[in-house]
Amino acid sequence: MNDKDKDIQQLFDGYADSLETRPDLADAARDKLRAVSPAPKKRKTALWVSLASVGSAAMCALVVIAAVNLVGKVDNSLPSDQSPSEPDNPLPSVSYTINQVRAERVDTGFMENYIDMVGASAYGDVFAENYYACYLKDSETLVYVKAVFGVDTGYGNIEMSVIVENTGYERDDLKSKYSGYRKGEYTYRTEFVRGEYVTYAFYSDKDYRYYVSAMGNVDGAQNIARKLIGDKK
Amino acid sequence: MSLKNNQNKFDFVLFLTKRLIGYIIIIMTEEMRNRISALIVMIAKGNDGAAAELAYLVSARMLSVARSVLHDKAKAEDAVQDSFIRIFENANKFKSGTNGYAWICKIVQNTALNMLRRDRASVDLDECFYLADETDVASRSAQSLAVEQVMSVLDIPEKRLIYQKYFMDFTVRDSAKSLGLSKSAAARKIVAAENKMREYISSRDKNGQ
Repeated sequence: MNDKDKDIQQLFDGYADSLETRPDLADAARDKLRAVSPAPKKRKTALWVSLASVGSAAMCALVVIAAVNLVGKVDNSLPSDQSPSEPDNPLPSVSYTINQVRAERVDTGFMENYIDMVGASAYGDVFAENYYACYLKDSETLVYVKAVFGVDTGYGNIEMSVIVENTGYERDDLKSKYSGYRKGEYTYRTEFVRGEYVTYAFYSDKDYRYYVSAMGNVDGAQNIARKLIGDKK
Repeated sequence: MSLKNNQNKFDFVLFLTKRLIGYIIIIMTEEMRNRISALIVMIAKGNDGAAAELAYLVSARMLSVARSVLHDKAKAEDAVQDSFIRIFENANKFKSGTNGYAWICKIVQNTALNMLRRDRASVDLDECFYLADETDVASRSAQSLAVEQVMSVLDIPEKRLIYQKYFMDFTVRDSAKSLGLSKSAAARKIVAAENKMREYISSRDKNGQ
C-alpha cells in the first residue's frame, strides 16, 4: 500500500491543498475536552508542612487585608459605576468603540495597580513593555489600561497584550471577541492562528474586566496569563 | 546544482508568501503524519493547544471524508463535529507510533456511515460527484474537478479504494475491512484502478489536454 503512484498522489495533494480549513468544527469537542481535563494532582503534605501552611495562611490574611486597604485607595484613579455595597446585578455598561478613545503612555508603577507585572517577570525577562491609560475623548473618563510587552522565557518569546477595563464601560470589539467567556470565572482558550498559538484569557470581577491575548509557547502563555489575572480569584 | 538551489529558494519564498497571507500548504508528509500522531497523544493528556493545532491541520480533510460519504455539506459538518468529540474522547486508546491521520479518517468515515444508516437515507452515488455534493461545477475548485475527471474512469468501489489509499492513507487491510472485501481482492482492484487512471492521464497528456 505504501507504493503510491506519484502522479495520482500529486492530484490528491493538490485537491487536499484546495480545501477550506474548518478548525471551528472542533470547538464543541474542545469545550468538552477542557471541561474534563484533570486538575493538577495535589502532593501529599507532611504534618509539619500543614502546620506551617496554616501559620503562613494567617500571615497572608493579614497581608491581604493590608493590601486591600492600599488598593482601595489606588483604585480611586479608575472610577467605577458601582459602589462596593451594590448588589451583584450591575447597571448596564456604556458601550464605546476604540475610535472614541485616546491613549496616554504610563509607567510600570501605574500598571502595577491593575496587574501583577512583577509576577509576570518570574517567568522570564520582560522586554519591549509599553503601558497606556485610555480615556474617552469626550468625557476624559479613564475606561481601560493596556499593557503590551514580551517575555523571554528561555524557551522562546511570548508576546502579551493585557487590557483591564472598567466594568462600567465596554469596548464593542472586546465584547464580541470575548463573548463566550464566563463572568466571574477565570477562563481561557488557545487557538492556532496562522501557524502560531494564541492563548486568550478572561476574568472579570466587580470592578474590572481583564482581557489577555498571548502569542507563543502555550504552557508559558497560560502560566503568565494566570499569574497576571487568574490569581485574582 | 544551482538549478536545485534556485528551486529550493523558490519553494522557500513560496512557503513564506503563503504563510504571510495566512495560507499554509497542508500536504500529508511523513513529518505531518508524525505530528498528527504526537498531537493525539498530547490530547489524551488534556492539552487544548494540541487540540487546536490538530483541528487546524485535519479539519479540511475530515470534512472531505464526511462529504464523500454523506454528499451533504451540513450533515458532513455535523459528522465532523461528532468525530472530533470521538477523537478527543478516544485519544487515550490511540496506539502511539501508528498512523494517527488514518485513525482519524476511519473515525470520520464510521461516524458518517452511522449517520447515513440512522437517517436511513439512500444516496445514489452515480448521480453525485465523489468529492463534493455540489452539482454546480462552477462552485468547485479546479483541483477537485481534476481528481474527479481522472477518477471518472473508475467504478464506485474503485473510487472508494483509490480515495482511501491516496487521501485517507488507508492500508489494503483497512480498505478491505471497510468495504467487506478480502485483502487480495482489494489489492487487485486497487492495481486495476491505478492502471486505468495512469492510462487516462497518459492519453490526456498526449492529447495536450
